[in-house]
Amino acid sequence: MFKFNYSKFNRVVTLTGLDTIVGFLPFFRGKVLKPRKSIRKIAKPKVVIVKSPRRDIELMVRRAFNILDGLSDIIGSDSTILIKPNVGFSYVEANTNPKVVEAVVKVVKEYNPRRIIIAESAVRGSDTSYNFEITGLYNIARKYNVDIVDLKRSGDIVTVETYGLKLKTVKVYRLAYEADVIISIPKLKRHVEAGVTISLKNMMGILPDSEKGRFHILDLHQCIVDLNTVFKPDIAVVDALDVMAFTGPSHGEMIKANMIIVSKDAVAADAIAALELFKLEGVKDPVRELYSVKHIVQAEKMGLGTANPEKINVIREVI
Amino acid sequence: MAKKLIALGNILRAILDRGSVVRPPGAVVENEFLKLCIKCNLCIEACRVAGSGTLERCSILYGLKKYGTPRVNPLRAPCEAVKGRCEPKPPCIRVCFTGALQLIDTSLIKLGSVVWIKDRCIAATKGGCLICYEVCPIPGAIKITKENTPEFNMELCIGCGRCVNACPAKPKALKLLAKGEKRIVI
Ligand code: SF4
Ligand code: SF4
Ligand code: SF4
Repeated sequence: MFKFNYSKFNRVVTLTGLDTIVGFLPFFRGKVLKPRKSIRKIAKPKVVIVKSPRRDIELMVRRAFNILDGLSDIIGSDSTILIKPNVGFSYVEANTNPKVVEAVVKVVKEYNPRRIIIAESAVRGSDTSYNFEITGLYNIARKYNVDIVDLKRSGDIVTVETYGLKLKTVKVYRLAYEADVIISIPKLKRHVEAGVTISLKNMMGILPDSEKGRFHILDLHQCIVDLNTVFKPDIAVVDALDVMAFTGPSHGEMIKANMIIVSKDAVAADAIAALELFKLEGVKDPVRELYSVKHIVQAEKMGLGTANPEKINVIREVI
Repeated sequence: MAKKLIALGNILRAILDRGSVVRPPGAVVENEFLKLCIKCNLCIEACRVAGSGTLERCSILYGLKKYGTPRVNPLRAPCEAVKGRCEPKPPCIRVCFTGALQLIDTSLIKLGSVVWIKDRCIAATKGGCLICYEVCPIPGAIKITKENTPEFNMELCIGCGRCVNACPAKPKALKLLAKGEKRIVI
């Protein structure tokens, strides 16, 4: 008997480009899935800023995770872990430093999770595989024997319900939906429209191209928050070794900051990282500038985390 | 009678040659290109396999002379010859054996330039967007004005089509034209 396999059918349809036609037919629009993950709430989140002019990146990451009491409360032996670096561009300076990704992979591997996946869907019109290659992530994945997926070529897209205001459902790649733990490793950058792009904005890299366009048409700030009501990163490791200041996200002035900012509350990590960025730029009132970044403020309002710098426990380390 | 003849001539000219098209990187000047290109479509195949897949055959609507020659269609994909996967030796040029496409320095590539149609642009009408600025590989080709709208610099734009491909406005607020293209003179 022929058995209808929805996921296979979906794959064929998206790979052949039939989805634009089939998408109009209500019958084939597919199920709307319920969110799998719930958001971890942390009362007084810790944010660790590790600075190391020597750039001993592995040590920095280890020290940060140690101060956060390890990751065993998040990573179990049966969890699937999605590592989401920012490799959206074909110029290396706009992407996450691969050494940070390598260090995180190495540390996470020690917890023996079921599967580790490095995944990304680059900005519209950019080829993710090529970006993986020039940043050297393919080599890292091979070295540590973890999976690396160019989401744009994986083709498998699901529709997921969100708890958001503007965005009721969102289309994401299935791998992101099935992950138990999301680790966001963004680069600290300015962003022309969102203000800054850190771990919350980085989650737009699990969306197909068409969906990214829809975000920009609707309302980018609110859509970022709405996406994060379902796919909020469990751990944020912000690469602030070289910071892109003043303009971004593709070209800007690079400032050497030699920092890594880590937290289990992505909103807090974003707030503190944004403050650091504004301080590096020499903004007069960094806290006021932080409150002008709509998506971070809105994320706090919707209860995703803490953005008020006074309520965050910031721990600074120099090694 | 004379009028009718002129009209017929115009129609014929329209069939034979209709406007300029955006050629792949390294193309020689149009007259020579049309002589040299034998419409083997190898570049199109190479672009599909090793490039981004932006090249396509000109349809009959571009005139009989141009029918079957390659053209860059940014709606399919952007051209990756500059700051992309095709750097520094684009596969389309490497497979061209007639010399219609010739290897040139990456810094000299300019396929054309984009025009911006203001009343379709989301940034100009509703506010927001600015994806074009985000994806442009050339610093300074797109600038953001005080009103938060993009401003295109025709001189710096290399005509890669990344912004056209990414623009979410329906219909697209950007168009890629061959205007200002740099071609190899032989
Ligand atoms: S340079 Fe690459 S993307 Fe551009 S036309 Fe040639 S093969 Fe295609
Ligand atoms: S991408 Fe298109 S709609 Fe958006 S700002 Fe640029 S031109 Fe306007
Ligand atoms: S303005 Fe558009 S076509 Fe011109 S270089 Fe930038 S992305 Fe390419």
